[in-house]
Amino acid sequence: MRRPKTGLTWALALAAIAAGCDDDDDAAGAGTLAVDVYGEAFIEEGIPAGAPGCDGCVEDGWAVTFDRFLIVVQDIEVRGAETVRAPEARVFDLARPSSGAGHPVFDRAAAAGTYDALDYRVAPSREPAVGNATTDDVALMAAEGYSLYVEGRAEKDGTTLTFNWGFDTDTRYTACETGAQVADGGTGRSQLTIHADHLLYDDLDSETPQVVFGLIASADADGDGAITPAELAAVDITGETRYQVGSRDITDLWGFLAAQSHTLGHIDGEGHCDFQPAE
Amino acid sequence: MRAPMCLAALVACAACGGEDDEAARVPVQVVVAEAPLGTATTDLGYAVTVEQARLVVVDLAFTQGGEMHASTVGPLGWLVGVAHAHPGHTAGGEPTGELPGRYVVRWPDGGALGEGVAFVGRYDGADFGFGRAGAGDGVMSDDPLFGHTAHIRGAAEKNGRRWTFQLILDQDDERRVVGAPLPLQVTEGAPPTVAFHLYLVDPIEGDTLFDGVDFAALDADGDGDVTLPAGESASNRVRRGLQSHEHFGFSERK
Repeated sequence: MRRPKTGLTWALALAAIAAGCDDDDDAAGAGTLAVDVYGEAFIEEGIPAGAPGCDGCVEDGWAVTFDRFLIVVQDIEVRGAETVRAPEARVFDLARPSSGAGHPVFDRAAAAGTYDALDYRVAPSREPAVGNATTDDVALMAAEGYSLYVEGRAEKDGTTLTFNWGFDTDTRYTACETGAQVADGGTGRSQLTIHADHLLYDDLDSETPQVVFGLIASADADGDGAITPAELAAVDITGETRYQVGSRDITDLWGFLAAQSHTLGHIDGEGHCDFQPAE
Repeated sequence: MRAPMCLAALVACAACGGEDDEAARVPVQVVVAEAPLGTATTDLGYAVTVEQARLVVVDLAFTQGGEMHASTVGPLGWLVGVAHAHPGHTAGGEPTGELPGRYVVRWPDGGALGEGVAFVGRYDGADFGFGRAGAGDGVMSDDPLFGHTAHIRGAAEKNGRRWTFQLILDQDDERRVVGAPLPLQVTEGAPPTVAFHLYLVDPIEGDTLFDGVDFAALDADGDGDVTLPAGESASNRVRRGLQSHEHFGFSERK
């Protein structure tokens, strides 16, 4: 029995064919393919406080800054004129300033042409290598089995709360729509872009989530100024108007943040990826 | 080495428009399940009986070939991911059947929702969105459902006490339930009828739609009658359940 074909199926197929027939892919010679990882100003400088509806800010008046934002990047595969792989795990601290350039993951000799698809994985590793993080940070990620570790502060109206959260989530970002062009003798770049504001989204499915911190701030049950994973896990979100989860079995705020941690990865700024949390 | 591949693809696509690839379309009647919704015992020990549940749903899609997962549309709508779900629920399949439009589904009143269409094949799941009732849906302005997504009325009992209740809730317009079970073989020349079910109890995990709702605590005046308005904690708990494929399903009516 034939499977019915939808317009979308054929549109995607034709788009793939068109991409595959690009003349640039026939370019002769070789150059360098470079991949960077970047946390943007949100991680390097912080997410400023704002009012409801503001763009690029925390909408309930909290200002959030990150002192450390450690991430384990691995299993990178870039496809195009040829396939370039970098399977090794490396730890990066995206809170370190980069003047907008991001941090180099690798650069490799590569055939000239277009590279339009990229996969990568953010997952724990037993023996990750140093990216730009300190050896102590690398040891922390390996010892605790973290894929992501965020440490920072949130401030509002004279109140300062701290957080340091380690996540062991395993996420594959696939079919990232990159656009690296490697010219003969030149360098083409792709950027793994990490969006920290997604951690503060208040909905797992909405197309119009808010970036907020208030419920997270309220989790500081012992009032010591430090918001811990255990305190977040004690917050029942099932009665909340926001923090909707669809069909997922998530009832607490820590589980919600862990689910959001799967959504941080992007490509070349605002570029698209599919993401698959590992089973 | 790209040219041969491109040529092959173009040759392959030359056949795309041929009539051979036109799969048969079959009408699908969608009706509302008529069985009583029954009684569910919640995690707080209430025996909850729903007399009637009304829900405004839009644009049902029937899907083939999904995985045993819950597909999720990311926060910006373009980052598509997959999250673990429950056995028996498939999602991420290709939508090859539909019943477009908006409908006020009334359980257990039954009745026909409409005639959809589906390509022949094996179906696994159904997706649908939500709306808010208006005059165009035949809902009058003095009806508690007017302007809202759902209205549920029933009774809860615990320790010899009884509360009647009605609950009103709203869902965001872009919200969709993804992966409600739809085990269905669509065959050319045999138009099927499927019944749309609401389950008070998750058939897989046993969670109930009213878990966490403390009816006694909500009865501030002690009159045994409780209203759960939209946007408040108790209503939000039920709202969450009504976003989950765990509480919906479709069955073929033979």
